[in-house]
Amino acid sequence: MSNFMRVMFVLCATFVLGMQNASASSVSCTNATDTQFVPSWGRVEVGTDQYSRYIIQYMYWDKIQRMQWLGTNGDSTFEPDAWFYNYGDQGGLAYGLAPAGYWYSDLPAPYVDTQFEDQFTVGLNQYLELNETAVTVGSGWAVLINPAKVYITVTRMTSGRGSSGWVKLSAQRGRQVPATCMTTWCSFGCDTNNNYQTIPFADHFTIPGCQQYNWLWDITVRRTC
Amino acid sequence: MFTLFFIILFLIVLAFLAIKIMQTLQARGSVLKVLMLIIVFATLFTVSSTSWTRDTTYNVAIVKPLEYGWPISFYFLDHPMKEVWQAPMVVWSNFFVSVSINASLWGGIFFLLAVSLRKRKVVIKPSSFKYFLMTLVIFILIMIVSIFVSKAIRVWKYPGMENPVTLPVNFSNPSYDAVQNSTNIKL
Repeated sequence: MSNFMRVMFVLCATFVLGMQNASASSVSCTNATDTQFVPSWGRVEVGTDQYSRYIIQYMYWDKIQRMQWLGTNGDSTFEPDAWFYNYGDQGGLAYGLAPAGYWYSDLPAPYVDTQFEDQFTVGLNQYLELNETAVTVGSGWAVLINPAKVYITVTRMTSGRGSSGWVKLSAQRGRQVPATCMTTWCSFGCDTNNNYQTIPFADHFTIPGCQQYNWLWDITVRRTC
Repeated sequence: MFTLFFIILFLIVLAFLAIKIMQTLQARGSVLKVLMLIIVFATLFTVSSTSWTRDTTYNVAIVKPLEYGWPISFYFLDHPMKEVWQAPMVVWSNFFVSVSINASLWGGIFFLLAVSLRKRKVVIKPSSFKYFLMTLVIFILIMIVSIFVSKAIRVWKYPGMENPVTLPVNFSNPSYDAVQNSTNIKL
């Protein structure tokens, strides 16, 4: 086989493998109910300081049973997603666009989530835009999350075109693919019983501001801080 | 991990192609073959550059001209691959212009290199592992410089973004008062 043929072979293999990797947007998981991974309590603060806009999230599982799925799957991941409302045709302009700059979390193996594979639509000036922009810091090793401890995620973000807006929170469980890889590129959401909206857009929770929720922690309730 | 793997794989393929192009140019091979190789090289280089010119630590939408590949911004990889054929024309036009610019740029560089080496009576042989390694190192250097440049532009464009966000002072206390408030509601 000539060098040229060898190069072409590697080239084709690269494309095939790359496309397979890129198209794997979710993975199959064992069954779970919402009370086995959604935090019992959570709080979100969205605001701005002298440098940029930012989002802080707190989350808390009150007992080990509330995180049973996370704790019994060694390759589990968890993402407390925050989505900014950006439906321009309905008058919505996102307050935050994408994570940028400083970020921190005390979740195990934290990572800044990518907007890779999020659905773009053609917006103003022919630029592709997201109707909902995700700003998330997730955990690539959720099996190590402990109950009865308040966890925090914080990240700065680039500003959207809105001076205010709506935000929703959702709790997403997932798995490492391949197992033991804990970066954003290896965390895939589960294909079932996923994405429970702990604060939905329907609440019209306006940011900047602060809101907290209880999720089936005796009751499900949402209120301002 | 996957990203790094693909970037390295791409760079190896690019180095192979670069050597092949220069061999063909030195041997005064068919123009059609050279053109085809340069187009394949430019396409791969453009696709590859989408990975190494954006700051994956801080996600997308930071530095438009750099994050989506040299030299023109486009959103090829941010559109789901399974629907890439439905991508708006602006994506493809930007992509093809990027490929054309890269083909002209790199075609010129390879031509000058091949001519220069031939004048010095240096012949790149098909099994020339030394030149392959040299080319690979050059591409890796280009990638590293691009990463730093895109990072520098981000820091310049968004000053202060690296500063920590001030957290509530009582955060370090596990019995955080907000949880306490929730408990009150629960009770």
